[in-house]
Amino acid sequence: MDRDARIEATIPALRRFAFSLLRDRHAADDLVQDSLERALGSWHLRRAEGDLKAWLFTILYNTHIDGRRREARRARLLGEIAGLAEQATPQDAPDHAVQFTEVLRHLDALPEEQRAILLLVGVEGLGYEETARVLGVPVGTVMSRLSRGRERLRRLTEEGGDTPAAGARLRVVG
Amino acid sequence: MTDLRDQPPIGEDDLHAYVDERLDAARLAMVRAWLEQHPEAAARVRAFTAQRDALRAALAPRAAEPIPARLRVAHVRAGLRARRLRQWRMAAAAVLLLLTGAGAGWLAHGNLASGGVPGAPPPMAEAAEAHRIFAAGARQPSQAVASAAEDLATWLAGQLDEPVVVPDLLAAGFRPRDAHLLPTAEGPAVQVTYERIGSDTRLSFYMRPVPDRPADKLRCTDHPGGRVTYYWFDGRRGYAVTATLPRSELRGIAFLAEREVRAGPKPPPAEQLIARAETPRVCIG
Repeated sequence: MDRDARIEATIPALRRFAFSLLRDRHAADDLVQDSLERALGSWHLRRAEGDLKAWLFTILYNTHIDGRRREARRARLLGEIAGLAEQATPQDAPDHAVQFTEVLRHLDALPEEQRAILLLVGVEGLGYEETARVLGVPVGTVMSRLSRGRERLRRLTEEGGDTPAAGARLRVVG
Repeated sequence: MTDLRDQPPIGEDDLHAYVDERLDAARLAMVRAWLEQHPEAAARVRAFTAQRDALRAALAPRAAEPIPARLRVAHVRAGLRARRLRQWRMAAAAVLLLLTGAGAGWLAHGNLASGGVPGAPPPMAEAAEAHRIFAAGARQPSQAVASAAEDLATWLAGQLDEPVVVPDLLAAGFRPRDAHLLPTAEGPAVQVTYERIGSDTRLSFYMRPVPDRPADKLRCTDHPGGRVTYYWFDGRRGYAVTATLPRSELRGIAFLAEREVRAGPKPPPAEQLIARAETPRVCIG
């Protein structure tokens, strides 16, 4: 029960991270559910005791990447079949229940690996090394992406307005 | 600023660690002092911090929501258990199918009954053969559906590079439905499914290389659930006929199959069934 309680204590953060990646409430909760199933199914593979939060984030991120690959394959297939190269993606389906603040719109313009780092470090409060483990990249890569992501977001914010165009968003997806 | 001589110079990493409040006290003091001297960098740092706060604020409602029931650990775990049970059942069913269809069970049983076959293959010997059949150079599918015994015989001959008898069991009311190649350590085995015309009754004819076993007469094995297997050896291969049928009936069909196999690739008319079906035989197992 202690274990369950500790997992459940992380669920709000997992949902927030999933939502910030997918920007769709239901898809986000699906992702969290899939990740929890994975986590519970591979509990014995978990390493350090104190690492629970980072471990759960790792599973969620990997599940997300798997899902996105699946989605990309599906979109490509659909595109081939229907001749629709510009297939809609989950990120184009906004969640109307949420007030989109400017910063979230700008965040969309960042490549996903930068976006994930900004969220893990800035919002979820993970350390740089934890973040590196979650994303499976060296700490140096985390630092350089964090730097580039923040700088880019800063410029977008300073330029202001509604510039984050569909083109930028498509780049994120591709 | 004298401190800076002993310490690495302030870098981009320090600025982010400052934003993320991950500097130790000594470094924090240095970075603060440095930022006072560098207003542009200080402005960037302020922007980063504001940006971080904005992200936190924008996403905070997500984390504040109550956890939906489906994400409760107990619920997820229950779902996981149910799924595993389903998967286990499917796996068990697949194994059962394999045993039924391929007649693997009867061979194992037969081997045990005869005190074990010398040189029985180690359990992984099938792997290379499975690869050969299903993966490497599989120009054709490893199974075929056909309406006539001859069609399957033609297909199987192509697969095995030698003529193969697919017994014509029409006289017993069975027609071939499909055929599968299956791996064994000695080479490909063949399983042909027959179905009784006008009913759901299925019957399997199974044939595999058994090079080191002398020719032997027809024998029979009972399996749980009413399945019966008749099998025999001709010095090159082992053959089996399996179905859920009364022994007396299946024995007649097995005689028919044996006769067809012995006659070779040109199957003769199958009228002998009635004449031979009454012959009593010892049933082992």
